[in-house]
Amino acid sequence: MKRRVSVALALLLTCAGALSACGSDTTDSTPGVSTGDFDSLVAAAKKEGTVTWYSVSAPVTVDAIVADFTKKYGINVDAVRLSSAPEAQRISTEVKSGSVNVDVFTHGDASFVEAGAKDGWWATLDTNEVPELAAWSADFVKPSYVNMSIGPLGGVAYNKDLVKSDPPCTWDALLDPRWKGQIILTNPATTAAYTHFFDVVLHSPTLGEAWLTKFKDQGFATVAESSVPASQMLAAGEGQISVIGLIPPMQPLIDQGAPLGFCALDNPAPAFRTFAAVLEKARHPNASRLFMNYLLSKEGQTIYAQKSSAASPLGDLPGVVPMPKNLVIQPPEQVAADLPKIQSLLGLS
Amino acid sequence: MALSLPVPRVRRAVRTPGPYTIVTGILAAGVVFVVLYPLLRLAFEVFAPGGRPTIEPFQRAFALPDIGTTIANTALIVLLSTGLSVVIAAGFAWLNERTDARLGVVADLLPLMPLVVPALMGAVGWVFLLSPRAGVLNVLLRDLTGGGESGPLNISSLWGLVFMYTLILTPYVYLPVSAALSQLDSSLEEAARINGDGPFRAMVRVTLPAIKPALTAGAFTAFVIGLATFSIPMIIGPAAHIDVLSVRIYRLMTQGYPPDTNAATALGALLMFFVLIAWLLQRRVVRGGAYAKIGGKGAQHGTVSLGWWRWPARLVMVVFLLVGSVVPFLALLYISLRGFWTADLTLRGMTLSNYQDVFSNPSTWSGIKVSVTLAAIGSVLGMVLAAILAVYVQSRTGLLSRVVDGVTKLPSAINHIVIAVAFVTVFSLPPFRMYGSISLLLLAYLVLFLPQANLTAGAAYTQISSEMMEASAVSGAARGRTFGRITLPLMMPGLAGGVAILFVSIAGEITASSLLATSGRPVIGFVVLDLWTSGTFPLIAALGTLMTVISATAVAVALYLGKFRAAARARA
Repeated sequence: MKRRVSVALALLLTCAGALSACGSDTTDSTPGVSTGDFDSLVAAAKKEGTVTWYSVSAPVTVDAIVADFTKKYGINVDAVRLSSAPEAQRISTEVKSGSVNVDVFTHGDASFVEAGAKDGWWATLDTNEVPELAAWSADFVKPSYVNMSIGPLGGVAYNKDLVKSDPPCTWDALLDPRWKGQIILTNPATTAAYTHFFDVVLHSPTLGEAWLTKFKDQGFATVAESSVPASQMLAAGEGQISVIGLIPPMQPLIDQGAPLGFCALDNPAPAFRTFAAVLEKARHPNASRLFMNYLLSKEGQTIYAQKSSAASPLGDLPGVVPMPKNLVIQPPEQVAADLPKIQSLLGLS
Repeated sequence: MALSLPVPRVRRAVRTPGPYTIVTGILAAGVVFVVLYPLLRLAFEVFAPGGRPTIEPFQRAFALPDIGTTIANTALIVLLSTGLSVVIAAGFAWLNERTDARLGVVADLLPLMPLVVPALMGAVGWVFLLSPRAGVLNVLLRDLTGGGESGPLNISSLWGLVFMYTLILTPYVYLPVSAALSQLDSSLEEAARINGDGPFRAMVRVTLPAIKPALTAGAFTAFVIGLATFSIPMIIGPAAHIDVLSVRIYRLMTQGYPPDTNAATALGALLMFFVLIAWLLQRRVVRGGAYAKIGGKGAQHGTVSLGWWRWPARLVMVVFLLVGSVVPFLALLYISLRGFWTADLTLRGMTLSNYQDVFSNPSTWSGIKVSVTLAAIGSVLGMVLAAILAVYVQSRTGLLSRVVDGVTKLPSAINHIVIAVAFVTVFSLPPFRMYGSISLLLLAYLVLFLPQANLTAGAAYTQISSEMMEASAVSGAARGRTFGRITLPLMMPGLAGGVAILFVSIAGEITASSLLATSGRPVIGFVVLDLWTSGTFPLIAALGTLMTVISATAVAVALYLGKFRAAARARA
């Protein structure tokens, strides 16, 4: 029996040890990228057989892209959908700890993507590996990442049962006393993309601090952590309108019969942007480049933009919203620095 | 007498230690390492980087926008809800232990309420019920009173937060207070009543002052847990425009890039400072006051008759129990059966699709699988570990034994979010590189619930008569054999109930999970938090309903084992 107890205890310890050993998928070695032509890259990618994609996009977008890419190339996509901040956290921890699981990611926070580029976390891409880059304007392409999408367009969502006529589709209309206490606000602090929306307002010559102050004086029905719960609270009638309204989180509710409407805000039009990059130490270097190439192709862009109600930097594509005319983009450092002021002006602190 | 000394045991102790001693020694040292190392290393790296002490993290933390308001809000909410929970718990404990209003179901279930409906799910349920416009209960109340388009109640407010905090803190005060009351000699109370005090006056003037140590211990526990409470302010706080320190620490670690570990750790240190102050106050109160000693086993007490007042008293207790468990559960169930959250109260359009989604959605399904697996492994492993440590601590007197004893109690005084920050920071670095791994979560859960497991194991051990172990030793059995054949089987009934409770605690954990889990290997707490930001409410409700059913089943098992044990003892 003595032996049995000792064996059991030893087993316990071994279990704990084994658990910690099998906890992380540590891969330090990076297999090389195919040096031949695009066909050999495709062949090498198929041999790798899988690509891991971290994305902040709505499930409907992710599912459509995954299905089409897998159908086209027969390569499995291990798609992981994350919110913006957790995605940045996870990627940075993977890179720093040397156990990189992600191959390609798409992300909305420009400051994170730029910081990673400076630290050499993303692979430098060229047209030999990603031929579709040749069709892209230099305005959207950096050496190691691409601004692959403009959108979704930010605006005002409204409950059609409660707002029977004249939804507030301009910045001025949002200050109408009719909306006092009826606005569901998306918390600008949740992600840099939300902060950016209000930073565009803050620096707009026609809106500025005065508009934010008057908007706060409208009184908010509630504050939601993101536009996803905001859309659901709007459908439930917790408020009549919601700012920042975005179509992707509204669509599944509309499909289920929720009475939701949307209008995009213009002049200024705050841009939500999505960036894409391939990890320098990607476990599947060929599949990741092939996936990136697909995301930048007309095919990939059309599906991505349609499903996420975004505009494509490639210009007019069938069934895709055109690029907003008064698009405004603020520098990421300024957006981060302005957050406390925005929170204060909106009365959130 | 001297001739009957267990000679083999003495010789064994003097000679080389056996395998059991070595293994338990390694385990004990391992526990000390896992608890202390991350905390100390985090403190060192933040407050003394490169060996140079700095107060920069504190300067950084106190320069955060509106941090003063956050601290004031935290203090206000925790103090108010601690006070309320002490009043409610003391009242309920008195009713159950000293009066004829006693309700067995309340006495049994109240302490377990936070486990049956975890705070996270309770908060979500109450948001569905008491959101000002779309809250189901508010809609009902407005239909009844025929007034307005909003209210009358609002969960997204300071009072909503205090209400939720009080619901979850009351059981923690109830437990020590009811235990003390059940053993208090009633002669003083009777004397007071003979001198003309009514039952209520006698309770306030005599009974409660006599159990001051239990009251302050309960208040201290409630205060510490209140400071650590994370899920409620995370769900309700933003809409109420109210931040508390635990949420602020979480945001510093997760919002924006890179995480502000320095400021987060400084705020964590501030929380620990608050706990220290409360602990000193508690000691002062207990030491300074003159209070009656609890009588021993033979303490007699008569039951105070409340007359017809016992019915409203019972009603209040039952309503409290329902408000803390059944009502939010029903709200979760209702929303889980709808396509989307709507203020309409109707049975039309009910659907089970959200439950199908729970099982088909990769995130929720793997969340359940990972949580249940971790809870199963963690609860058994944790309880066995706690049993070994309890025996180790209680049967030895050396320095390591005292250190182990202190260290196993330490996590209960340290905020879970601080432990999570330490784990995520320290164990992500080489050589560990454990971030995102199941083993890191398991390790964190073992540390977080070590005090709870240890308390159960310690209680189970002290109830075993030492004669059996001595007899085993006299017969020449080694420590390992005695532990395996005598101690562990005798402790088993107590440990089994503890395993069930530990299972529920781990499965419902959210604070550490929010920082340590990743979407690659999610756990339920992490998934619900993620869904709250980016998922659908009916899916959250369906997951919450399932989680509550799992928890309630485990708690029922624990209760059954407890009753079984009590019955077995009575038979013996």
